Amino acid sequence: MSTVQLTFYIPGNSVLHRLNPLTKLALVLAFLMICFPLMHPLYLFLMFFASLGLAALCGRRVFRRVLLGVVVLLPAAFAMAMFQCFWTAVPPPWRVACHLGPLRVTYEGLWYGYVFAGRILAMGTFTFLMVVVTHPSDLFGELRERLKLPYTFCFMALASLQFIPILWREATVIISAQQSRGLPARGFQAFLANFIPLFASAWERARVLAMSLEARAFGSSGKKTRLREVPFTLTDKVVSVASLVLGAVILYIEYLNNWFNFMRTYWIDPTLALVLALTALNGFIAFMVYFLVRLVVPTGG
Amino acid sequence: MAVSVPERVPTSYIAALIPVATAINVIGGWLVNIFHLPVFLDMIGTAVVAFTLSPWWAVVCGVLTNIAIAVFINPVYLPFAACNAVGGLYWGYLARLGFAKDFPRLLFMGITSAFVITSVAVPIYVFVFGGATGHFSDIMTAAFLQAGLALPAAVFSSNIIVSLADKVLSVFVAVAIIEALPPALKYRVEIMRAPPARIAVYVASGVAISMAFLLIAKFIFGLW
Repeated sequence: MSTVQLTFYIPGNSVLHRLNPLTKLALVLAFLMICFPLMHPLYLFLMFFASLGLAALCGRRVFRRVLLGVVVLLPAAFAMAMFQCFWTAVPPPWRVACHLGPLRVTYEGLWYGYVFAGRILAMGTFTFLMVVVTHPSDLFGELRERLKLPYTFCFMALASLQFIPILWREATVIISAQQSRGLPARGFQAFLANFIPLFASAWERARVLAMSLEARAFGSSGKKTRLREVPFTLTDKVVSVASLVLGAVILYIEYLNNWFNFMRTYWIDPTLALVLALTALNGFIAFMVYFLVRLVVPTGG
Repeated sequence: MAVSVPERVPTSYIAALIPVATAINVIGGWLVNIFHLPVFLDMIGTAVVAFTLSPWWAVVCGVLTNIAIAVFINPVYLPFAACNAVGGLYWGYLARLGFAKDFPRLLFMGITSAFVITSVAVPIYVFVFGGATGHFSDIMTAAFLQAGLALPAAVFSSNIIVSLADKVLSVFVAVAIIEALPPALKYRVEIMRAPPARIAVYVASGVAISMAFLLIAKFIFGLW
């Protein structure tokens, strides 16, 4: 049976690994602040590649894990680019760049579509990099201790992240057991036949956990101790403040350059426009064919 | 003999049940891929929490679910936490009003929740993602767009067909799960006995297919 990872965290000693989780949260906030309103695909793709470069600096294992995350984001990126290319959502007037059969490609659609694709790739990659270099218990511990988030909420969030891989593993065992008994491998009946034993087992875990929590005075007041202590150093303070200030400054520069405005008129070289439209269309078709094949062709069992 | 139940559910039970419900949501979403089901089924745990604990605990469960899905599966799903939260609130308050105590009312709850949740999902699809998220329902959206619908209407039409089947199935599976829970967790709301799985599937498929036919009829005959 394949082993299931408990989190996406990869231990390491890079600069990002050594930062306090709250500092990483400030970095994510600043990055999202810059990316989200930005309507310029070139800069968004630059930020995406910069995030990949940062992942490479954190070590080979981190880089590989982040690349896997990018693969998960690609179908969404292709779909977003393709939709806007052919069915532009920004208000008219639109200028036609080229025709692909019955489909019409507009300059505005291409620009807007690649803005969406670049945005999801940049934001998703950077955020996933931070997930990979942060231990979840450190993050929730810091949120509770320094940002005073309710202990119950932090406990539930952490317990959820720990339960998922455990139930995932149990689901794999149950599916194998049910299939070895000759149960169908597809359809709602098969889903229920596997889901109900899984829930029974999950409920038993919840019951035991509730009793343990009760026995250990869950919800009592007083200072909670932690297994992993993470310092909030001077570097953390400087990086947190600098990232938020820099984020605000870049946001202001974006505003001055009119990069928020999606109503601007853009011009792209017609050959490049055709290449970009074909890339978006082919990428979307490839992933949709993959999804349809997975939906139709039975796997295993 | 009367069963004695506590006035309120102990915090330790809540703190244990919500992570399990969250995990069930995430694993449910994963199992539908394994069993090739064209639905989401990532809100069953939220429905269980909404019916048994309270609407606001269901919101917590819904938000945690989408955070976990974003971490473990795909970050695209993070903004859809709003849908999961609204679904939890809607189911929780309707269950308190007695909409979970018999088959027709539960079916009504499932169908109307699909419209409520899709209404929350459409602005997220359109304004955050430009209408597409890389899900298989994007194919339907593309077909509706090519048929001449505006982007929000195309996203709504493709989403509602999947959502109807999904939400009706979710509430019926949640009712089946609640039957297995201890009395201390289920005395607050009167909940019907779970119908056989086959009936739930027929009803959910029927509702979704009817909606698909209505949408096709709208295009072909220009109804309403």
